[in-house]
Amino acid sequence: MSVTVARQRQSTHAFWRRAAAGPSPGKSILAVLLCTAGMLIFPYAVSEYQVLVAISFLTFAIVTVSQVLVWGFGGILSFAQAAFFALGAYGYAVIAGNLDETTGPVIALVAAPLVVMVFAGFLGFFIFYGRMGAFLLGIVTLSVSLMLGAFLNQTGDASYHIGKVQLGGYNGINAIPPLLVEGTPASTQVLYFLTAAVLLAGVAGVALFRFHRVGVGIRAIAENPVRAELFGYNVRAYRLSIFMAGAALAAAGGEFYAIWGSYTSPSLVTMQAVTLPVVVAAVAGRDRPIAAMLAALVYSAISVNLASSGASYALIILGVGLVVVMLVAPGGVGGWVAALVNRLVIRIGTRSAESPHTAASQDDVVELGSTPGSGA
Amino acid sequence: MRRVRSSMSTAVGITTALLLAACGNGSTDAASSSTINIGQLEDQSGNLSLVGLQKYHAAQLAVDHLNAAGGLLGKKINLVAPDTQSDNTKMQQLARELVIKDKVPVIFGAQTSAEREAIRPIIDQYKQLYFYTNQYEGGVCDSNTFTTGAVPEQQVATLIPYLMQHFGKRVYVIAADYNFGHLTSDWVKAITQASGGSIVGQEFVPLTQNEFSSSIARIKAAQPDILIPLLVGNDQSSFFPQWASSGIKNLPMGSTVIVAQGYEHLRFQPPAAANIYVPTNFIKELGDYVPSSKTFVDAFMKKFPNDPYIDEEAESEYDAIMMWAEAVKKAGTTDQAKVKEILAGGISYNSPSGTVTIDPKTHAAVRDIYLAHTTETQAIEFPVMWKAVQPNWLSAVAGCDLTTKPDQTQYTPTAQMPAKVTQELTAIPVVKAGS
Amino acid sequence: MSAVISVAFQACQIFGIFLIVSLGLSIIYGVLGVMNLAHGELMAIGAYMVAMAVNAGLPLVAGIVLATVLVGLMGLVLDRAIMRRLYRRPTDAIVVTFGISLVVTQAMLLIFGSAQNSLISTPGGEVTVAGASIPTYRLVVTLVGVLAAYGLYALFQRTRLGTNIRAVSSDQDTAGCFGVDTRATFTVAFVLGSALAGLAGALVAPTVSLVPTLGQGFVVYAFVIVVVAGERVFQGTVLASAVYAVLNAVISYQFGSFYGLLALLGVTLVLIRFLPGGFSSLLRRPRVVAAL
Repeated sequence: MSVTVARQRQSTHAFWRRAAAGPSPGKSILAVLLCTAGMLIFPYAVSEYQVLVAISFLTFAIVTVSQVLVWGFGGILSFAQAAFFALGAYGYAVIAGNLDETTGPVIALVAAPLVVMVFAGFLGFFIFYGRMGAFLLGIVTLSVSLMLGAFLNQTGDASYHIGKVQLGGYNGINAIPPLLVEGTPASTQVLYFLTAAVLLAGVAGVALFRFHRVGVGIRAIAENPVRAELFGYNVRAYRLSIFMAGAALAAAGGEFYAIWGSYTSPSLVTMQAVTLPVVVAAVAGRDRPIAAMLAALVYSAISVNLASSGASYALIILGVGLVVVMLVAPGGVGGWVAALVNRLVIRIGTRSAESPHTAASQDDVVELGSTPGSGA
Repeated sequence: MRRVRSSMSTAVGITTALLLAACGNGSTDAASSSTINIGQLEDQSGNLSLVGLQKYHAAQLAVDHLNAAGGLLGKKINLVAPDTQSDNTKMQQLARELVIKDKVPVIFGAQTSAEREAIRPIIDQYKQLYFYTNQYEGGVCDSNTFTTGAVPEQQVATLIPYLMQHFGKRVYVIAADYNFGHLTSDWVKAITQASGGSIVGQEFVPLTQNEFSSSIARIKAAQPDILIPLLVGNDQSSFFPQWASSGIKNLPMGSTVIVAQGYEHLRFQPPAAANIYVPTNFIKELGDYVPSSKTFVDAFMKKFPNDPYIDEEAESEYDAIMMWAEAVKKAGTTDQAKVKEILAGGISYNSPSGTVTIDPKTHAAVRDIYLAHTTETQAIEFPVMWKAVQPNWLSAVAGCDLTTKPDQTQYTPTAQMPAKVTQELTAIPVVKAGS
Repeated sequence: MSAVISVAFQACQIFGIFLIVSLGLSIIYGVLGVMNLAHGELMAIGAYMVAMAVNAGLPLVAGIVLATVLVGLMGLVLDRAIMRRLYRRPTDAIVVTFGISLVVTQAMLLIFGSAQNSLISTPGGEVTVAGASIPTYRLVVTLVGVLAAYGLYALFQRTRLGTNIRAVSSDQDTAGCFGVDTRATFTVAFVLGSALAGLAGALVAPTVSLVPTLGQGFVVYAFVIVVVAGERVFQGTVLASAVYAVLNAVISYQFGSFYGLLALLGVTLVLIRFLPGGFSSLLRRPRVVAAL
């Protein structure tokens, strides 16, 4: 065998090793582009009703991606993402309801996540500057979310209003002003593409964030806060920032939900609604934004189907499925699937070049490029 | 565990999700040329299922009866009734599905006023024919909606004067904290004051609350002559056993929903549900007094022998379906616009509990109201009844007139449109049939 | 005066149940580090079992004891089958307990229907002091709560098992080095926690409408109490329960139950900001090291 051929085979090996080893900006971008393609094709493959329903799936996916940002990267087990989602929906309803119908919705679209972000900052101040353990934070966020639900349920009396908009208590807020496009309410298609755009931007942002300087810092803090602090990172400030960013993203999901359904109610912060983003992110892999997005879409589709077919055994199957998945695939399904496909990729890739180094290079791959994972 | 990412798994994932979404949502059969699908949205599980299941069963009974009589327009009727799980969001989602995807010619259902208001915008957007079949706080003036349940003119305006005449002037209200509770309380307050009484206390309780010790303490401190519990749902019914063990013995209670909706007199030991007065369009015990009720009760128990009760809302649901069928026969089609016209023309129907007529101005039902009373042993008796009570606060005071002015609003009592009695109400004694 | 006693009675009633529910959750959290999202469902199972036992003819007390034991056994089964694989994975355990709660709620719905009636009535009359009254049963429940707490205290402080539990919850690895069977301790903790949840459910059964979700209202408060209790599983929980019960009773009496809830939230936020160690840090006795 000539030297040139051997070198070519080695560089082919190296390519497949790199392809299989560790996340990279390139792979994230590729994945997001594939998802974008899928979402672009989707409306033309299904009925308008299914596109309409799919919009609500997209909003849930946005919340789940925010969960990954805050939990998977930030190390904060936050049960508050659903609460921020609800606040985004309520925020949009209140702001748009008080302004005129053409500019109001657009202003509300921008303002609602900002308002929620400020609220998250206020909440985060108490939580993070008290130097609680990251895990205990989770329970505090759970309690706060549930109490938000209790509060919203109590606002039934007519005296609970912000400007012109009644909070409505258990009934929620109805007839939320729609987004107007050239004078008429945005069509299903327009709303779909808008929501999908926000989702894809969010997921791309979160996925690429891991490679950014700030993202590396956040992950360092998540892994070991004391060590990161010794390196000079302002742990509390970083945590607060990521908490606020996650809140803004979740709120964005919420406001599109409000536009989609013209309706928001306290049922967005029940115990089940609040734990769902955590559970879906856990199952998908809590630091995998793209996997989490897909898991959220799949879950929503299943859930809607189960609701209309009325199978009461369905939730039992879901619960059992959850338990089984967590026992079998501790790092989340995303990691399990990725590892499987990875081995496949290496096997196919390296088989194409028969080299005496094949066996050895497979061992090499195990060491190369792997990060000391924090696992579960 | 090594953390790797592969675009392959992403691709697989997208395809799966797309396939699922595309193949999904196809659970109901489309209406074929030999069946008519009718839609029902009720809570068959969750906090509100105690009542929701009764309404669901009543709908099934109605469909059975219609099919046994040859169906409608030569076609069999099929009930499409997904479970809304006592969740307002699911209610919306399933309403959308029935209206947009299944395109049913009529929808019956919703229990709480919150559920109704969650779907009414969708109903109005698509001009869907809709029957709301629960007792409620009144005020809905909607071209697309017809209501067969009792309203405050029929329940509060009859109850309060009767109670005040017999028991005293001090009234305490404890109500569920949402629009139904608030608005019905407004009615209670207005009628009480108009009858010369006073509200000595008023409290609103969230639907998920099942601990009433502080509420009970407050009620006792206020020393009312009459207690008006307007409590809804499984959790809130915990009030009654707690009241029984620490409340005032034999304080008369009045309500528009207790006993007649959630059959507390069968679920709790005396004296939890003793001495309660409820004006209602129907309850199961009416079967001992009115022959047409007996027929209905017998048929219901034959089809559902294990059901614990048949409440006022189940009968309203049955009435609504039967009336819609009548209208369809008259119209000769299920086309929603034509059927609405017939219904709005003032259709009448001999229900199990008496004649029910749709009032053209308000789309609400004129019906007979029976006052039910639970004795010390929680047996049911009917001291008095009122014939053909008009639901006309809406037309007389709020100005609702759907014959001339299409509308989609719910009117609530305000200073300009105060809640008040707009008709003469004469209580007549109830005579047991065959006695 | 009557108002003060009335509020005291309110606080009493809430304290008893808060205490039992929170202690169960606290033990599981303190030892395993797991936030048991299925705790409310275990309560509901306890309540249903009592109802079934009493309807089968057993006296109420026997029913309560039976329910407690059975739910404890259920905890044992859950531990053996599922939880023991998650001992060092607290976040996965959250997901799993959520799955379990989903399964249990749905199973109960399917087996029992949506609302069982409270077919057992609350025994006993009421105790009246200066115009304010409390049902005797509720007073008994509080006493049971206090007794259970005392029993647990004795267990923790006086027995080897209790010492093991405290050791493992304080520092798992070091305890293991000292020969404590950490796995067995985990199991015991989970069983104990489950049994307490069952007891709480059994005790409230005569007073509430039996629905599969009856535990959720109590469990929300329990989570918050566990958070502010701090690292001292026992003393912290008792103190936190007492403070919250009194606070809730006072504010609810004055302003209504909603503001009672809001007050708890406000206090929680303030506490975690300014007293991150929770109530436990108030209990810490300063160690004085003699200078040699």
